[in-house]
Amino acid sequence: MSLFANLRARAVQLFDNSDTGGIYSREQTKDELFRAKYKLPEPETPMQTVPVQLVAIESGGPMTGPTFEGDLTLSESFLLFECHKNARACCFALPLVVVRRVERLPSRNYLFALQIELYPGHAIIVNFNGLISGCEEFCAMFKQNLRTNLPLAKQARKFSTTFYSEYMVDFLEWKRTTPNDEASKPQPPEGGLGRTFGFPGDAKKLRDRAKVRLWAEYFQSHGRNITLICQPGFYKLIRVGLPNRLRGEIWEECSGAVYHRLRSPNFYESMLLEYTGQASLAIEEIEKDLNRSLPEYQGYQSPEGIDKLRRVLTAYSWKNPEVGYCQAMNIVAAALLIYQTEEQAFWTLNILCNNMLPGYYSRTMYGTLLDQKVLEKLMERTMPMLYVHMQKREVPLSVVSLPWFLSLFINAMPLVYAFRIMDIFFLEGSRVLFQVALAIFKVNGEVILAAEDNTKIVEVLRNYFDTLDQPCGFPARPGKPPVTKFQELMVIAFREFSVITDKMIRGYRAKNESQILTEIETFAKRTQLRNLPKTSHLTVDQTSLIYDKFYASVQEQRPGLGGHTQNLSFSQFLTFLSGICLSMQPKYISRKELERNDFIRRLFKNWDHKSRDELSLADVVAGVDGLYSGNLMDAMNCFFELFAKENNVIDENGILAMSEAMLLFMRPFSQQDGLLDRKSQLELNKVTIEDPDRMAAAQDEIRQQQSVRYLSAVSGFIQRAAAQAKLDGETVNVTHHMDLIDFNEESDTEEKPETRPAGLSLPSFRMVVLADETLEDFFSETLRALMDLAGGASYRSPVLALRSVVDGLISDGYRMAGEVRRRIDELDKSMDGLDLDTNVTSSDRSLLED
Amino acid sequence: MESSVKPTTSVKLVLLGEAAVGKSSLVLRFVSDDFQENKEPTIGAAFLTQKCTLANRVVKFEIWDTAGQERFASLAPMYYRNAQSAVVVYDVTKPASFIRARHWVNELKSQGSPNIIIALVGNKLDLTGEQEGQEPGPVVSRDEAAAATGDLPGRKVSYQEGEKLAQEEGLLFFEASAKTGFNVRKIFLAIANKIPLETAKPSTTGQIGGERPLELNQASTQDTSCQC
Repeated sequence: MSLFANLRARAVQLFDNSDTGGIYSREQTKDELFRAKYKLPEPETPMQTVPVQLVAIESGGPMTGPTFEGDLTLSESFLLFECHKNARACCFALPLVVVRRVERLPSRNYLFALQIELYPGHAIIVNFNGLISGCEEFCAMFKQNLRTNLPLAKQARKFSTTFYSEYMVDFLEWKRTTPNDEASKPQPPEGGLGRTFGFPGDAKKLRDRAKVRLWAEYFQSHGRNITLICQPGFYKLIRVGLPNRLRGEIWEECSGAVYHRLRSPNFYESMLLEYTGQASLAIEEIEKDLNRSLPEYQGYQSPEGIDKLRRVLTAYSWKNPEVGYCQAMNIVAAALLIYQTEEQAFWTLNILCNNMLPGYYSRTMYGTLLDQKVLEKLMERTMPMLYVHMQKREVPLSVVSLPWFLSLFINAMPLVYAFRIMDIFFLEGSRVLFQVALAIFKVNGEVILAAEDNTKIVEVLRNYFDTLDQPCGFPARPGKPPVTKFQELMVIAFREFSVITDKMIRGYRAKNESQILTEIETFAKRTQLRNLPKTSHLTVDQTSLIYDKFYASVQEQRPGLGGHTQNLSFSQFLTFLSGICLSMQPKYISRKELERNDFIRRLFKNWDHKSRDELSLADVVAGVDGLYSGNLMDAMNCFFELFAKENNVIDENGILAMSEAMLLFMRPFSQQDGLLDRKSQLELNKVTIEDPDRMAAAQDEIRQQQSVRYLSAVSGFIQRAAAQAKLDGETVNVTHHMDLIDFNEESDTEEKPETRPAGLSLPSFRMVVLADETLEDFFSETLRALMDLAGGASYRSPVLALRSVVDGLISDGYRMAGEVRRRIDELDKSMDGLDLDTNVTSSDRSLLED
Repeated sequence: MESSVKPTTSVKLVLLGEAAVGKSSLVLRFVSDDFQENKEPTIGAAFLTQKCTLANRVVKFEIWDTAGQERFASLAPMYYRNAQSAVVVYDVTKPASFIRARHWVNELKSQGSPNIIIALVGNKLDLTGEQEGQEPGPVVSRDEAAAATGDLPGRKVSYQEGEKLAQEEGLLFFEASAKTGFNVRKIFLAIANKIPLETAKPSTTGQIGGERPLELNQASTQDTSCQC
């Protein structure tokens, strides 16, 4: 038994660690990890890394300073550094376009050293201490990359003028040198709505001016915007809350959105231009919410604010059609736009939705659901008592916390506090949301435990958020203002819950992802199947199978991830068909042939009710339902309809096309190694019973006959149909001629009766089909039998399927072992007293007689 | 007060319907007798309570007001699970919202608690420009109705359409306006009146309702169970 248990545990471990089709269960590649670490856009890759000693030289300062041991990495257009001991001590991601000069320094202790001067005036000195060959290689590559990036340098100068930080430094410089020259006074760049409509919160209380001064100092010495070198002061300044005028910029820099804006200038404008006037579902949904996004903020009571919000959300939806628009994005985007320009907000929203919170706003919102699960797991781990209590509640914890995560606390807390959390969120990532949420539960834990019902819990939390600015009751240090509840929350979130790490969160996500996706998929399937129009021939199971095959053809990734395409294109339709119809399998028809096939095109066009050049699930189900009727008349009608012209007849070309379509369907029966149809099977059975030895030979013979039978049925069809069509055509002409006589007596002599093209009408078509037994069988049962709708497995990733097989095997093993033991026990028992021998033989005999 | 001696029944009620049909506004009108022109969209769900005093008892509604956007639909089972009553809302000026309402009714019928009391509500009656409380007239063509109401979007879903769906599915039916308050209390009173006396709120351990699709609070012990 323990062997089985062992085996199972191992198998489960193996499968749990492998790819289940989600985004977290997969190991990240080296390049992905690199980009995530430095928040770089694609396609930056680490080209070369060397160990160095680095000195950051302040602008205008002495040429020495503290040294940092760390790794210097070169990518296509960035130079990156991270300190070994503590990444926060010194790190940067400098676009190569900001490098003004590189100089080789004489060095005694090291192989050699470089002094890299940056545009704003500060510099870095790099002492290489790796192998000389590696360093030389690095330098050669560095030179090469600098050269390729050179053409973009000019654009980067212009880019830097879009930052408030740049303006701040310029302004201070102007004030220092030429304060009386109004003409040269620098002008602030464009900013967020807050510059016009005011920023939320009391700037004085938030000590905004002091913060700005501290930042100005930092910028002057450590660089700013894209030339920023992050040292401990930077993180401290973020923790105390960003000043209003710099907030948008620092958000953009911390999230990495700034690199996207740098890389794709004008992208935002051209995106809007390209799609001007186009409609979409997302736009419809956006319009509904424009007046409902931070409606209390003055900027959103004016057309200016509303228009900005509309443009940013719309541009996002065009860039990311698979996400489109999700409620809560309006709130987040509205918040961004208070501090950022449209273009900044656009890129920040992109990074936020796609990189920082993947899947949160997707069509299935799997990221949101997954993280709520992860939150529960974290709660179970850190606050088991509270977790058990919430579990007992009828309503899961996530009901309360889900809106926090989706709206980054903006719709839960007063704006000033939500923005403080966002400051840290953009720097540290989604971990912050978990830490703050856990801290909220921790602070309110006792009241939640004591609450008698859900109403109370909701009330307690609402009240807590409303009083975040009030003293928490913790004794203040002498001479300092009392500690507020918000400060307490921050301390608990980032000190007590510092145990929550990115790695831990990723681990939980990977572990629970597959289950969440499966739940979403089950739900989506049930809902979609329920909302399909009623089918007349397909059973529920068959519709369900069509659903699975439909989504298997439409998407490469798991449907739970909420990919973009929901409809079948023509090429996906071909994949779908070969999965659902025997005759369309690669065994019988090549993909190329299928692509060019006239019948398949007709089918696609016929099923495409809305003429969108793609098929919805409803289209496909209705279409298969028609083909699958198994009712002679319905099947014939359905077939006829595919080839009929507007005048409801089939012309000569149509007849040929139709016969080709029949041949296509009949391939499995007309080929040499094909299947046997019912008639042939009966014959074979007869032969086998009469003379079992002849079976193999007879099989070939019957197959041969069957092939001939099908081919001649079709050729007979062509002949008879053509003859009938001609006859039908003549009848039409005669009536037409008579009409002319009746109504157009005067013109009778001038107009000759026009000869209409011959055509086969529906009744004649039926007649021709019914004249041949094979054709009749074809419509009444063969067609139906060719539809492969017997399976029943729902979508499952290969690994899951495999895992269930192993689970099954193992449980079978258990069962078998149990059965063996039971039998041995029985045997032992019966051996004790009974006359076993006679008992068994008599029962055997009775069996034989049966 | 006399009401303090009346027995109180807790009733879980869920609001469903397309985005921006006025679910939250109906609740706000019912709970606080208030109206906000531009209410922020509900993210996930909001939870509110309100009591309804009847002749012989008090019904305490625990209201789960859900997000309307299509993609939030997969969260809905979390909220309608164990709900004894539901209000399915559509916008009388938006035919698409009526189709969505029909879907919600279907979902509740097949996945909600058995015997769930459902009220179908056509909201935004104020936008039709019709006199409140007037008898629904004969079916007017959509163009005519729109023309008659000037600047207002006008009615696009007739009273009869709503009534027909309600009759087919056995639902309570109202047309209402959260903005003017017309018929809002009536909806909740009608539901309260239909709640059987003995139906106390189901105990927290007992499961009513069928299969639970999107389960966010499964016990951790089930983590390793396979999907076969």
